[in-house]
Amino acid sequence: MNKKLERLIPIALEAAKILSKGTDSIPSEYNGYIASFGASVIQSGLKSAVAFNERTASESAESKADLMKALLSMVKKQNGIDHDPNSDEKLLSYILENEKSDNLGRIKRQILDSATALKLAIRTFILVKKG
Amino acid sequence: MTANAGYLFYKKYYKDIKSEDWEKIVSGEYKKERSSDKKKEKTPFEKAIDTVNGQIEILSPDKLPDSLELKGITAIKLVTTNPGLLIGSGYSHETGIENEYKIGFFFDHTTGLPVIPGSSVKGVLRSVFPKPDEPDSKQNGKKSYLKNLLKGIFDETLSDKEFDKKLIKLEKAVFEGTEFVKAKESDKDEKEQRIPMAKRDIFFDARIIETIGNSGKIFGKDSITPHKHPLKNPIPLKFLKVLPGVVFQFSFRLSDSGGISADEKKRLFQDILLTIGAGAKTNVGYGQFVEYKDQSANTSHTTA
Repeated sequence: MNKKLERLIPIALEAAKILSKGTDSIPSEYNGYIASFGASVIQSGLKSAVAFNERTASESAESKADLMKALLSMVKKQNGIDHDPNSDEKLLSYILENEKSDNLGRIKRQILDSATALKLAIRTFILVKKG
Repeated sequence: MTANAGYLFYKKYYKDIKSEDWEKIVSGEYKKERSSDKKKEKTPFEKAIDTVNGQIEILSPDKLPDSLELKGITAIKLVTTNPGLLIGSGYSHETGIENEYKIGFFFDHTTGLPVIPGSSVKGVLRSVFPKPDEPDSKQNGKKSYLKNLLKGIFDETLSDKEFDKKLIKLEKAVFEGTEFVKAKESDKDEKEQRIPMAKRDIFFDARIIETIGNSGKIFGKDSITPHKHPLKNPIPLKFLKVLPGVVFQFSFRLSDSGGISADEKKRLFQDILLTIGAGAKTNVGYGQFVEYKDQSANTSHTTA
């Protein structure tokens, strides 16, 4: 595994707690959601991919917005910014702020790396199927 | 008119949305504004989406890929039937904007044409083989179906146990690239060993090679309308599909293995594809095919 990813794993394990809600298991749907997120960014662009997952009234089995929260916490941690997991701040808002200050390329790379690390971290939890 | 449909569908679709619009869309404010005033003039990004929708739906490629008539390649040509084919519905494509396509689609990156990945074709074919963790009733149903398809290929006097054994060998040879052989003639049991790559069956992507009717168009729009509550209005969800009358070429490189010949495999695969279909929503009629009959006498179609 490359060094950049290795450094992100502890941050990812912390962020995955948003999805596990303090338990040692995570709904198995998140495994699929995070696996497809990177491909979605490449296919549709960063803002669209995040919007697909963050919009309210999404009817997926589990809330994809929590996944975006987890990614936001990871990106902010990498940039030395504190993040309150209970806040309503959205990843898309963070992206749009950074777009104004020309940091979009860096943020995109951070989000993609975080998504890879989060995917690996999620798989260390017990994945529970609903029903 | 021709364009890369994949670029239109995924990139150009959301290009005109400004930062402040994104904020509104994600927060739900856009949906509230839209539903409170349905007669409100369309925003620039809504108009852009309508334009792109139109561009995709009238798309008729000037030139389609050539039919692959190469030595060693087995081709099966099948035509989509009503209501059409939906491939790649697992990809996300919904932001909540009015009149957007709500379900994703899979396009070949270079040509922008719909393509059924080789992995999907292989998966569809393998799905009819029984799995050990399935309920007995399902396994027996699949065995019975395959027994019927393999009539004339496998000895019909085989007992159930012998048939199961042959079926497993066939499945392993075709889908896992392993075969059971005896190391020596005198050995009692057969051992599983890998088939050399050059002799394994290869599953290529299924590509569009022709359109029949539709004035050369490939795409159409359709909608599903979930009725969540009997007393509330249903909300139609628009999606993109491949129209009926589009010819796909399923290509394989087949070898004699698993107890049957390459020609017998071709017939088996064709029968399975004609029965099961491919893509999403096959349980409600999408993704079904019929055999292609050479339409060269018919002047109303587009070919390579």
